[in-house]
Amino acid sequence: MNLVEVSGLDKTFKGGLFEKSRQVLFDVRFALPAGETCGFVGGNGQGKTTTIKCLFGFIRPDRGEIRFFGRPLGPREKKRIGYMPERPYLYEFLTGREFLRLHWSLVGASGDFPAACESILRRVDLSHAVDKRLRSYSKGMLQRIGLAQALIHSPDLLILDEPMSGLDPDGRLLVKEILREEKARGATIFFSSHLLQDMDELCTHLTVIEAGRILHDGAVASFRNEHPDLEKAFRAWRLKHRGGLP
Amino acid sequence: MKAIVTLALTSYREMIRERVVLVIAALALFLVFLSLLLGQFTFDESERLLADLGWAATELGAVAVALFSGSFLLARELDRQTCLLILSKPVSRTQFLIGKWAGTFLLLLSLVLVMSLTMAALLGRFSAPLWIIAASILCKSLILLSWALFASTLVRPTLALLSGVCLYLLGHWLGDLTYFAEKSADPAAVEIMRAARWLVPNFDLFNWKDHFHLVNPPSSRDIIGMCLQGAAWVVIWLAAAGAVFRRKDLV
Repeated sequence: MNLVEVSGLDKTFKGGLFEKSRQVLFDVRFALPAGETCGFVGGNGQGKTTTIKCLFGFIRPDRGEIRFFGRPLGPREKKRIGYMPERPYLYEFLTGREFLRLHWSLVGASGDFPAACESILRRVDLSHAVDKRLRSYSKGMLQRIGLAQALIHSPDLLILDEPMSGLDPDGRLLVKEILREEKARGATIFFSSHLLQDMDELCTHLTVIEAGRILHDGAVASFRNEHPDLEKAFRAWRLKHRGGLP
Repeated sequence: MKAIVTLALTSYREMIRERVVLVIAALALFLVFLSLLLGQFTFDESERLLADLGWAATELGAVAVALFSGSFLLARELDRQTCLLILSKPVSRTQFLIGKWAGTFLLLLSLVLVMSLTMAALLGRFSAPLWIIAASILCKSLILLSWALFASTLVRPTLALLSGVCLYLLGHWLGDLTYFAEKSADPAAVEIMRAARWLVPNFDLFNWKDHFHLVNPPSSRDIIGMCLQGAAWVVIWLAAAGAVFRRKDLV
């Protein structure tokens, strides 16, 4: 069963007075199987973040259909999703606890907030900073509190845009561990990254985008083929389809 | 409704903790106390000077907060993409906008309340006319806040701010401009001012921030008229802002 189905997505950004219109997504179609960890890989400016923004309706596609849990995205579906944007700028005058309470309240979560808050902060190693204002957080701490708000209500689907961006090696190990735990819990994870090594370690399903077009959507093993890792598979793919690395 | 209340309280908390608003409030309070000092140099007109200058300072502070907040609120949310986290939750864009507006309303209410209590203490009056004047200032600020919010969905924040200042001035000069247009006997000018009366709120109708209205309070009819006009302008511009914001790509 596919938790998310995207078909026929097109998007053109209209130019201004002296700018031409620019099509950025071309018939994007992919699916996220339930319970899998799905990687979304592509270079800078290839359409990863634009696609993710289309999923949530932040950017309205010109054409195409997106279904979550078999239905168009609505309030009921949003309650089951945890999202973390690429650069989680946050309300800097709120404390970590106030920030998590805000998102707990908005998602309509039931249960004991203090316990959930304590648990998630322990997982992302931010218990010591819970009552400090977000403006005092480092980049890595902001990334981790951004992840915490996505996880606090135990969503069925996690959509994370570059979750390991800005993290030191310890932070990256922590996030990978959390993603493994979430998968073990039964969540479906969809995360974008530049780093093929992370995809190799974590993902069972891979979607590759380049210049706004989906080049592969399927099992990691089928993309890896006979190559020992994704990086070598990607190089071979490039050699075959693009005549080598740019 | 719960989402709107949550967003309003969060916005209010966020804005209160920002120094800019506190600086504006402090400046307005300074002007009030300055008018108290200046009143010492007048001959038995200290109360009048305090009322006129004090209410002017209150309105200046409230209008400044309304225009700055309204103009930069959405732009900042879009620039920093802080709205994406909110909108990924079961919160519609309309709820988001109303929640943000409501948070600023709470901020303006706090500011006008603090200034009014200060004025009441200094004037030695806690009577109804004082609160009617405070309400008229709040009403004006809310109209300008709603306009600035709408304008910021169409143009850059600085332009939205400037347009808000122009609206404020035009709203006070509407009566005078209409009079001059009629005196000029220029049909085009008369038509322009006639159209302007439909497009620009007539702030002069509830410009009660002076000593005269402290001792001669407006009639119930005028107060109801102010409330209805204020509500109408707020609803129109918030609805327009919502319509534009719902269609915007949040890139």
